[in-house]
Amino acid sequence: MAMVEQHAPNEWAEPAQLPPHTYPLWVVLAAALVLLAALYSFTRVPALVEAGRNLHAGQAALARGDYTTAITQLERAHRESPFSRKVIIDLATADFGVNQPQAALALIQGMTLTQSEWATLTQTMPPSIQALYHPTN
Amino acid sequence: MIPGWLISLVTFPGVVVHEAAHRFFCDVTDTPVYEVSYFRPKGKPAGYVIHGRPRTLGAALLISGGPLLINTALCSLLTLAVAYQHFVLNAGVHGPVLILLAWLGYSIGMHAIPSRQDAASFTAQVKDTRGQGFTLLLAHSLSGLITLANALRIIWFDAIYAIGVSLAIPALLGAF
Repeated sequence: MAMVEQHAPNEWAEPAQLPPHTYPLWVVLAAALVLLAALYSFTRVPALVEAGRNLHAGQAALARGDYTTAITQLERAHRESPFSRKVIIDLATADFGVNQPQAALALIQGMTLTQSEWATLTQTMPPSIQALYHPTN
Repeated sequence: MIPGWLISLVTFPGVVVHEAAHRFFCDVTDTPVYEVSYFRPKGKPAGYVIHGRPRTLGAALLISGGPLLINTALCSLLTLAVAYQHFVLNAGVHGPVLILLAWLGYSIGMHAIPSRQDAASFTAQVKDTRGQGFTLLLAHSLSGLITLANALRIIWFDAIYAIGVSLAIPALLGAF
């Protein structure tokens, strides 16, 4: 990884200079692959940014108790990023808030919840359902 | 402690990009290049560029700092989707393509910081061109920062830098 500087050689003892802008084929191919990968990453960003915006809008609606708006925003975010735990937990919280426990339970089915996620869910989860869950170490 | 050669082996795309960046800026600044090794498994250093004296201080700075520009920019672009997905949406990194992007991006980002030799080379050029006053102070400051960054590799500063770079654009987009 080091760059070693060498003094400019005398004319009578000049070592072979590499022709400028010539790279081994594998370096050129690797560079092309890296640029393609960067382009692919870049093309995915608009959908992810949109999911982030919908998540934040949903969280804001959730904070003011507007569960219907929260569900609309968070369902959009869920479509754009189905694996997002933040979206799933907030959407389930909003579903409990509008008394749709089946939809909420379907979302969190099989998940192991962190304490913070549990604290979010129990804001709206009915105590009768909370009693069905047990903490694990 | 994980040996340096093993880290270089796992993150070899970063070594290749680092050396290619040196080479690219040598070519751009008309600095003769005599020998290049883009990657040597188990080699120390893992890659190198042997070149002639840059014509100007600006050229020397570009050649020494080239990897900082190129590797940082590529790391930022390659990890954009991964960082957004993992750190903003807490959605993890799923699928081979995203895993590949994460490996490529963070490997390249981890090799963005110029090496001690890069810093020493630039400082020597400043001295040789009789740079003094502010120019010499700037060169010594840069050299000091680079030496510090290299010393902090023991606490994975290179990886911390790569993660920081990957979070920069999402942060600018107001994701946090």
